[in-house]
Amino acid sequence: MSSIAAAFAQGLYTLAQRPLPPQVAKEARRSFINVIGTSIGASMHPGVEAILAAARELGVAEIAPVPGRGERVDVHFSALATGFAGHLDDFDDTHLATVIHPAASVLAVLTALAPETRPTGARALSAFTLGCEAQLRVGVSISPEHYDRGWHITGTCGVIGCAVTASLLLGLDEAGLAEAASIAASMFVGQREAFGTMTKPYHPGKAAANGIAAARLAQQGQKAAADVFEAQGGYSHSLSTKVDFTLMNGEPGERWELLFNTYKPYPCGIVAHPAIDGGLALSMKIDDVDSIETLTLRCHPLVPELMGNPQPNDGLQARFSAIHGVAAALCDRQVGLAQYEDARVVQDDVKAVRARTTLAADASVNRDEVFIEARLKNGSVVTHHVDHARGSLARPLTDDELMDKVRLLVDPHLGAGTAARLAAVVTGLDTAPNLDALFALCTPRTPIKELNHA
Amino acid sequence: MHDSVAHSTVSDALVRFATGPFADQVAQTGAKRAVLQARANAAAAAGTGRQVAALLQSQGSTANDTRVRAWVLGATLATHAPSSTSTPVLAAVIAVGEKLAASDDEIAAAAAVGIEAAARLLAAVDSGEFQSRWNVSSAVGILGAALAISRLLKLDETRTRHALGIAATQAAGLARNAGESMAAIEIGKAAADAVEASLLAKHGFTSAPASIDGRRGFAALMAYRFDASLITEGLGTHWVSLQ
Repeated sequence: MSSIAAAFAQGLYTLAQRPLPPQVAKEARRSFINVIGTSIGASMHPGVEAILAAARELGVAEIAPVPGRGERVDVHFSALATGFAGHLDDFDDTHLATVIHPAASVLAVLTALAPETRPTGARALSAFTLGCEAQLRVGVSISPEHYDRGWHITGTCGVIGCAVTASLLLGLDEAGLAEAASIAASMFVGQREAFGTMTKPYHPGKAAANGIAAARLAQQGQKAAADVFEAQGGYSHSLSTKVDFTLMNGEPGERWELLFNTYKPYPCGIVAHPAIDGGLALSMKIDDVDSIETLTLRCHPLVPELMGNPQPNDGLQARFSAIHGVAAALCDRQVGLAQYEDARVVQDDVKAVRARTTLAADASVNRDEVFIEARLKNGSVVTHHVDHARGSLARPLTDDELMDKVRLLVDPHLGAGTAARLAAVVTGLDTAPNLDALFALCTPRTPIKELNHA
Repeated sequence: MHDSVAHSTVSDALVRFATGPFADQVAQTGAKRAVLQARANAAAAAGTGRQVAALLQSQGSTANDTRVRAWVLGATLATHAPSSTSTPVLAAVIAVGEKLAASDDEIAAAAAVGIEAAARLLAAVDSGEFQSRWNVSSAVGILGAALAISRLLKLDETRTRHALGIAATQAAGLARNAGESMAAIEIGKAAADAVEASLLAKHGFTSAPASIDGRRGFAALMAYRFDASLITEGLGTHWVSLQ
């Protein structure tokens, strides 16, 4: 009987030898442009600066890019910085069944290894897709116990997917792919205690770096225990009390976990998204926010429980304030990173709207639903009902909405029109001879540190 | 959504221990001997060392990358002789000590801190269940190594606490690989990851305050018993690693 790692590699390697199903390729491209956006949007964060400073102190060679940055660092630090930025703010993709954010770490592998491996666009998209799929499959095989215990599944499963992506880019064969996944199994990273600190987004960055490390070790002939997934003292049973390998290896090419990937429209906790949808809908019906006397949101009880901060004092607090999201939606008619800048959060107009806003918990309201009602000073009432929040499985972001998000992340930093040009490159990946055009667009043309805060 | 606590007596004790004044002659002498022995072992295992260096060459981009150097040293030491939680500590302090041209006393003090912290952390979490799941040398050694390197880099208390957190979140290595060459790779990698953690913290990277004893921290996720007093009681005055 073949080992779990061997069967896992066989399924993935077989899929790598043929074109992706069109529907899967389409979702992969959506995931790809989304995470390009989030990685560029966060590329000037102090955490990225810290990673690049550590790289400089070590004196690493200038080999690989970091999206949104002008500097180059070595493969390891490119992976760390890219995966970190991609996942910062939890603004990347989410596979809801596992809560894995699969794309940041896999994009980081691609970014770090592209200069050395020079993949075609099709090969790159395939490696990206199968890296996402691989980690999601590992994830479903140990969910929900693994995450519930406290592991940050994005890193702990991400590392396996990253080893897959790296192996495919490095041209390893099926046995090499199995070995890389097995080696990566003991390089798991991520404890949820670190949530709320820079270490949370470090997890996908390190998953990427470790996945590459594992693939390189496999390429050099290093081996791990062949049964490292299924054995006692191995990966799956050490990291979870519930393991189902049929979910990891079953139905390869038929079941695609990647198709259940979702994209967040707003950079805050997902439970607040219906409320923000409601705020944006009302903003089209209300010309002047000063005309609002009271604003009431009838919502699922988790909204006040998890996102109940009524008057946040900075951007991080605002990410846990549904009321801020609604107020910003009404004031600015858009909700992107700019609405969560520290300076924006404390301005008088949003403070005033927040002060007039109430969350009314109602257990009969669904998690992706909200009823919003504004009473205006002239006595009129304006209402809106959000049936399913944008970005939910029942109401996925449209391609246009996804591009609205990516534009707000990319263009303030890299110049108007860049997001659209990136999208065109991603759309044409199947026929691209390499990724040069993609990474050229991700690189600022002049030092633009000062222009970051859009 | 964030339920990490703001403070931890375990982190506080370890961080004060790692950053505080150090005057214990016996511990200093013991650590100096351990560093000398590790250097001698690495020299005696020069052939193994060259093989490991060749295996890991592609992990870095320059010949003298301290992070990769720590990895090579740790994997070499673990291949050459039975390993312990001290192995990543010694590999890391030797690699970083060379890079910084630190004095023998500074290197020994850092090693003493890291070895003692790792020994106490292991005592606090050790059990059959723990040993049967993880590579103990790598999973616990990384914590001592991060404290030791933070000391060598002269990080303040806050940054040392962050370094410990960055290390704790990537405590790894599997018992299943015991006896295979992969186990030594895991142990060396713990040294490399500790170097990285301390460097990141030095440059402002942040992590969990209660990375060891928090509700979703190192002990809660990886240990099957946890006795914090074995870490904190007498730390700095009573040396369990000297026994």
